[in-house]
Amino acid sequence: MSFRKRGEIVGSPNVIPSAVPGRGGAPPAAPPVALPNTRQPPAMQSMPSSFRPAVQGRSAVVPQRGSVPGTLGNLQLQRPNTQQQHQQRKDEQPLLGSHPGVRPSILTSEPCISTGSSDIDKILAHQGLPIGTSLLIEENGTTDFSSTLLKIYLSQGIVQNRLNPSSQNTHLILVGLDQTWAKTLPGVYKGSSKERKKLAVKENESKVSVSNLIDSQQQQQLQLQKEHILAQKQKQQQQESSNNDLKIAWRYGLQRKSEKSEDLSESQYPNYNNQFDITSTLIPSASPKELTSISIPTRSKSYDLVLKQIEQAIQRQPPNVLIRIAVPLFLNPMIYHESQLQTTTNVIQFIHGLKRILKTHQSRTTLLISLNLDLFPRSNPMTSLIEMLSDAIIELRPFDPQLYNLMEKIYKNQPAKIKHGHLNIHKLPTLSDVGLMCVQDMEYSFKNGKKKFQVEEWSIPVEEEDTDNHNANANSSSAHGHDEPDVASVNPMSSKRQTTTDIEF
Amino acid sequence: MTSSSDLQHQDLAVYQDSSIVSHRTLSPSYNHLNLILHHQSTKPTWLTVALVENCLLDTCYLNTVKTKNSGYTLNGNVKSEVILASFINDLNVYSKQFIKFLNLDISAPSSPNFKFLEFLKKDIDRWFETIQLEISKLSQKTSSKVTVFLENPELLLFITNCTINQLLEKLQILNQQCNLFIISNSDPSLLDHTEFENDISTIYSTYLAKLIHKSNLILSLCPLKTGRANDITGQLKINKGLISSIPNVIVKEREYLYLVNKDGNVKLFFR
Repeated sequence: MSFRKRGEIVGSPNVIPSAVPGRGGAPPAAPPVALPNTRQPPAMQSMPSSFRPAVQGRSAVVPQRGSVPGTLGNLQLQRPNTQQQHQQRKDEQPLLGSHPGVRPSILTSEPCISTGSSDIDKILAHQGLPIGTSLLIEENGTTDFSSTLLKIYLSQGIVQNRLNPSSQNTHLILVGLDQTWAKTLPGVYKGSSKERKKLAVKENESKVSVSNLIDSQQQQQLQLQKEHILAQKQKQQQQESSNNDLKIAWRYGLQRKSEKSEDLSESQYPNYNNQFDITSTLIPSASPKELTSISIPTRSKSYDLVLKQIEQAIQRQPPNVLIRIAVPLFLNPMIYHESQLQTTTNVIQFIHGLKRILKTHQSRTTLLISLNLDLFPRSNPMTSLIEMLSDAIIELRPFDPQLYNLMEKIYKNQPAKIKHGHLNIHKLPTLSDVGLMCVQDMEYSFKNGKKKFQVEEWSIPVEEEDTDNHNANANSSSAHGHDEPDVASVNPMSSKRQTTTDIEF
Repeated sequence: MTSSSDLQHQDLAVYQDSSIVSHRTLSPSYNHLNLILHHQSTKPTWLTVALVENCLLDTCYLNTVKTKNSGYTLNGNVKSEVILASFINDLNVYSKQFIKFLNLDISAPSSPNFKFLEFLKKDIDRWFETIQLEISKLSQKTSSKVTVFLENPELLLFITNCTINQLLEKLQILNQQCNLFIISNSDPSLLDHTEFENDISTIYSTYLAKLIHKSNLILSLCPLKTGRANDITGQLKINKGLISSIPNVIVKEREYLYLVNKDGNVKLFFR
């Protein structure tokens, strides 16, 4: 890296030569006209009128182009024109403040929703996914962690929708899979078995019965005595803690402040985020009123009908209803049977169409897509184009079996520390658009736990057992009074060799 | 190891006369085609805003040394009329930046010298006619030249039935009427030229190669080869295009390192 001062080179003004051949000059300049203060609205855009045939000569690798987005054969999609868009914006009220699952971004103040995982919300930098944006979840290998994320994303919407039974505030759109998949959405985490037992006991105690009434009188007396003792203890503790605060280092004080601020944000938005138990299912399961499932039609050659159905499902909902769209297992041949649906043109048209829908209803829609990178690796240009059209991208890269086994061995006594894979960030909503470099490879790890999809900073596991053994060997050798340094304690490999040769001889 | 805090903040200069968009490129006799290439992780929004500002007002928010007040105002006389057309972003991406650095609200049609067009919600098939219409509207109003910024027009190759030659032909027609800045993605995965003529990366790399052969100036933004750094976002390379520019309008080839903060503020450093 060199250090140079800025040099200013001033060029002398010269006559500009004639145009280079092949590059036209500007049209004759019009005489200066007084500028009006107002401008006419942009021209109304008309619909594409006819289905376009496939381009010749593009059928080998990019076979048959589908119809232009917005058309389905002779059937035309209702693409909103400028006036309709203005009308929609008027109708769609801002959800911030009125919806329990919406809070402002901590960076840009944009309204955000929770993805269902508080850790994913944190790594997205906004404490959630900004409304009007999309998140692409890429996954390597044969695992299906991304579906878990999509399920909790949908479950979060249903839980918020059921907060007020009288009015609907969230609607889900599931693309590619049907209601049977939606029946496996996880339920809210209700605590550990001990906590559940305690809750059950409390519920029993709260019920009105003769034995409970007698017990309650005795318990009241006991409680009064306990409260009195507790109050005295608290007074003592307060006095002690005020003295201790002066002794504790300042940084601990700062930590306390941050904890307090987190608590404050949780108390401000109590229903923003829930914890989900992936071993349970949401009861009652999502009804057709809450969730619209849009299947991929068989023998379909393009995604136009799917896009149209999504658009119609959004328009059916009242303007103050938040829409969560999920596209799980995108391009998985299990769901997307027809090879036509996997052609680049059709896929890019579909993703572009989804983005158009998001931006048309940008005050109330969000989108999550999952894509398997074994089928479409990141080096595939089609994946690059899908990424280009996505607002945020995270990649789940499960550990190699060897690394996973090593972690299991190292953290034998601390199973909570065992992670399932790396989580890479390739794009963050809004920040990447501004030009920030948000790529973070191998900096985070994830664990798909029972009660939480946990994301933590990645740290390389250290095999402490070997060092302990070496120390033990070193101690034992010194205890036996060897003057020469023990080779085995310096090089563990040599110790193994030594032992094997001993056995052989 | 030097960090950005040790380096002196530099001003952006593209041409040898220290200008960013030279006055001489705005002469009616010759129209320039400029390319802005970027990777997915280094989007050029900040650079686009800086270039638009320089086209309109002859100032640049990146520079510490302010140019002499040349009397340009957003509602009055400007250096060049500007149209910014995007195929991938809506105005939300740009609006905050324009308000912050230019005090220009692009969501309201307040400035008669600037027009933002987005083809995400609008009918993408009529993009060419729409831009042509806007160019003719703006050129009728004033004598100054129109500069058009096109963001990711390469998407047209994949979402419409447009072929490479058809797209390049349309861009050529637009370039005959105005100066063009074309913003395109140059991710390595998209530029893997294969032997298959209709492969997506072959189509893309052919399009970009042809465009480079028509360009006068290439500005490219790419991430550091060493990966992410906290104090450097990426590098900006300024190169001559394959068509030689007007004599005495010489592109000063150089490399900058740049840093974009979360606030959107940008600093440039010499490499």
